[in-house]
Amino acid sequence: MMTNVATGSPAQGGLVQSARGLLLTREAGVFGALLALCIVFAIASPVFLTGQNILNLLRQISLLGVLAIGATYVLIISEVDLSVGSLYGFAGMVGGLLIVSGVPEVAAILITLTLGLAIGAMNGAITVAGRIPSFITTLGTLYLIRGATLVMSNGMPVSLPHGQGAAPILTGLAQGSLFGNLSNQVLVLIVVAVLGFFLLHKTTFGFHIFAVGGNDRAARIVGVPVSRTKIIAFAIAGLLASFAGIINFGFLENVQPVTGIGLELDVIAAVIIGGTRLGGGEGSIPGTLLGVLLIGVVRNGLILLGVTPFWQTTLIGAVVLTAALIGGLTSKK
Amino acid sequence: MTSMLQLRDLGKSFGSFWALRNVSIEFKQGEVHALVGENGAGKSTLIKLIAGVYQPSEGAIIGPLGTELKMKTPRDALSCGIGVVHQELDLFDNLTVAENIALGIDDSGFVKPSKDKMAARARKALDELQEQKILPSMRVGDISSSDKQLVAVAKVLTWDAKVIIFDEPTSALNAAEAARLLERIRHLRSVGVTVIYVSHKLGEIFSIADRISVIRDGTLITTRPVAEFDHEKVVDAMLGRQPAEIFPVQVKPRPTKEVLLDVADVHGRELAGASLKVRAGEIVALAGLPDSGPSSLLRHIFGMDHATSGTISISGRPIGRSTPRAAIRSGIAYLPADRLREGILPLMSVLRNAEATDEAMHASDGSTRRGKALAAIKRLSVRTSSILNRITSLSGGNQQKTLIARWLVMDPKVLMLDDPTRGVDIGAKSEIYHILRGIADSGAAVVFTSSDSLELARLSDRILLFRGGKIVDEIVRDVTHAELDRAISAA
Repeated sequence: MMTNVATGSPAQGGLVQSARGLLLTREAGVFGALLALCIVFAIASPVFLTGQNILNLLRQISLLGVLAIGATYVLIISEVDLSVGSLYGFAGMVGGLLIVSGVPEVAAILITLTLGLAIGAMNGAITVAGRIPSFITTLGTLYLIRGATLVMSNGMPVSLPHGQGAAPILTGLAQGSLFGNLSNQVLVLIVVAVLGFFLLHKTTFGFHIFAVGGNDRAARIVGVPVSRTKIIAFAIAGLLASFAGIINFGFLENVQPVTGIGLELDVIAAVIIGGTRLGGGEGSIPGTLLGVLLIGVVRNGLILLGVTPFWQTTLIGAVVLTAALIGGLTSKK
Repeated sequence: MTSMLQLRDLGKSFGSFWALRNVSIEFKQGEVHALVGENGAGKSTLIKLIAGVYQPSEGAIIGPLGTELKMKTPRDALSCGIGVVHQELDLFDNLTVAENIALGIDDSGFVKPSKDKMAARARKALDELQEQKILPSMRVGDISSSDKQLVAVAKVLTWDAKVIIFDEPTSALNAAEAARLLERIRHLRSVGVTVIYVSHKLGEIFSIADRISVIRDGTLITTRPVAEFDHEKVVDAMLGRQPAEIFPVQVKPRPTKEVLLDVADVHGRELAGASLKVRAGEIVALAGLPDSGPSSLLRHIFGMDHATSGTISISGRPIGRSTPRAAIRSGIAYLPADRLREGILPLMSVLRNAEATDEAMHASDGSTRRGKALAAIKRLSVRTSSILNRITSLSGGNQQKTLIARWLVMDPKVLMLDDPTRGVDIGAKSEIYHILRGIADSGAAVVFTSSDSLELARLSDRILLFRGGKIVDEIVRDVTHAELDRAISAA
């Protein structure tokens, strides 16, 4: 049972608050923290509120946001996907190698995304069929996929050939800007977020995600396809991780075999900060976006203040703990 | 009257063990059919067969059209018009009432049904139950357990259930809530729904049932109209022998003995000023509705929950803000209700389980400990082919005896047991009763709670009745369990 700080414990049956109402209050909490941080940074640094900085900041969090939207599905069903960082690097590498070796760009993208989807689905299928905690399944695939990336690249980075207009779609998506100075990456995030929101909050599949996360035994009894729902959730996370990975390749025009190491932890941190319950059953796309934004603001603000990157990591850790403590202390059990 | 459901020679075996055999019952349209039996008699196996959780090993379940119903999942059973309202409700605390009801039935399209549509469906089902207080927009995690019961009923009604099984529906309800639920059940009967009603509470059964089927040792003893029964006949049929053969002789409290446990005005979670004294040699039963305090008081005494005020003393010495380790050190033992999660160490042997507390407390050296554990296991006659087998290979009753043996090793001053015979068969129950009496006779104080009022009435020297977190009555004279049931619900 969950409640918010302001009202204390809910009287049995007395507190008429829908799940959405509760989520909104949690989101409001994240939003408040975000606002406070922005005010502090705006006062401390004259650059923080400039248009250019804000556009930069949004561009910097876009891919993290795409990954975090996928992870939201997985965390709401009370599972976790540790392999998305590896998959992010793997997708960039597969896409890069295919394009460099002359495969048409559209085909290269489709192959990469299909692989990402399949690997995600495999994470889900192994977890469900093998009755393995997803923490273990995806710890295994984290290494497997990273290993595959190292093997196929032979440990070397892969770069787009310069100045030949190779991969116009990817570079356009990652580097271009359709609207003024707003990076297309931000548009990508917005599109993914809108689709992700619709799927999670408006469709039967999303309904089933919340049901499975709330009580999977009861979900099975009323006929919710529990295994299928879980596998699809992992597949979405895999698809979005590979999508982000290949866009990253389009942005940097090269990919390292170590790209994305540790990224899964940023992703999980963002989702948790955004109010998704680790125990499952609660969470939202707007919340996740706020969590991503909060991480982005912390990083950006501290850089502007000239603080070493080591302190960024420390502060993000403090934010995660605070968010988790607030979640833990305000839920009843 | 038409037959809605007919069980023909139904049987279910697990390996070579028949949990249920040769059961033939006909459930008629518009009747309330009570199913009674001791714990472990086979009631829950029967319910699971009807609800599609288990498939029969032999025999058949025949539907209203005379065809055999083959149900492989609970969902199949729902589609056949058979719904179960479980003791532990299959609801989603994180969803609203409307979403709980819509889930599984109103969610075949790609897009989720609109809030309004779900709310309308929920409203209709709640109206069928003549329930106005519960709103479709309420979050199920925020409503009371009696309201959850009604939501669960509304949910199966939405599936157009013609047969509804209630599994111990009032165990967590107070008298007013239980009366309200029984009223709704009578209403369901009047519109032609068949109700299969499973309960320990005979008073309730006599007030609502049309017919009673008694199950014992996996077989059907009898099915008869309620008019041909009275309390005693039902109990005799359930037990198959006289209660005197099952329970040890009761003795009156011996007030001259030393007070071992003294609880004075304890406030805390679910407790509002509980006070009691328990003397050496007596067995005291704590009775009351589940959240009225009995179990919670045991947890407070054992240091698992902490009192906000009041004192708890053992042999006259206050124990202060305690932990389980400190409680054990001062001579308290506690057998939790949830054997699987708080009792057994599932990966360890019977012997290691019996030794566990002594070992964790460094109470005695290795060989002494082993000697004590072996003696305790023998005294409790734990049945196992080897004491080195994993405890999970034992029956529920033998697991429970092993856990009692664990405390015997510690030679406690105060032995507290939270619903000690839950999920234990009648034979092991009787053994446990005699052992507890023996422990009391050897000078310990025994305090227990139970979901079984026969046990509360027959095993104890006196009964303390809880209401709203404190003790409101003490029953020392002989009391039948039917009277006790009424007192508990009224409390």
